[in-house]
Amino acid sequence: MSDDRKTLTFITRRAPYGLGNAKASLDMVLSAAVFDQQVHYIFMGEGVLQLRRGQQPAAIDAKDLSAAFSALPLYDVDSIHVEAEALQARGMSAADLVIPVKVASAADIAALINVSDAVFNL
Amino acid sequence: MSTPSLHIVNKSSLDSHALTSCLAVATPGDCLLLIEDGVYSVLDPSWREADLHTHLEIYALAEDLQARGLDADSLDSRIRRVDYAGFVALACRCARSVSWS
Repeated sequence: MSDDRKTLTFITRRAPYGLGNAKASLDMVLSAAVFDQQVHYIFMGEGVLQLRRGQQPAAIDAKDLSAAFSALPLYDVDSIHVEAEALQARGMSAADLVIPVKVASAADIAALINVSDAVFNL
Repeated sequence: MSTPSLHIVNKSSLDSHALTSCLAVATPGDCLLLIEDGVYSVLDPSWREADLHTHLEIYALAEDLQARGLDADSLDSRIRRVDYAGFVALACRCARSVSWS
């Protein structure tokens, strides 16, 4: 492994449609993974809604972002974390999400930030 | 003990969850810098109750306070003013910066 491998953490905090933030985060995650960086992908606040099962965005002429998340394992992105409090606040659990994730406390997320070389927060 | 992070918040806590999310995951010893509309958070009464200064160093960008008429002496003395040079110094002192918007 080369010396320039960094730990990059991506925090995504917006709902999937309406703003471009969610798609931008996903694109950055995949790009970083392609360049063989260590990636942590964290869903906080409204961002947890990106992972909700049953989205049919064709109804609003948008592409289904949630379908793209199933590609993450192909890019070796396996450090995927969802804020526990954000799920709970929306009456959701890990079973409502389109991919397996780690449900993370605020302390867990803080620990991920603290081992990161850089944090991207959209 | 990890090196501190610099958390930069540019939205008012009265209008956005950015500060709330930031505070949920900030680690004691970290620095918090309010910039742009983030400086309006000094008007949020919950600041008084939160006692954030006991575990975070809290800064606000002086130019942004001044621009918004928030530079009065009555402002919370626990919030330290920094100018742009101070912003750069903070960024250099911290291991990473995390922007919340």
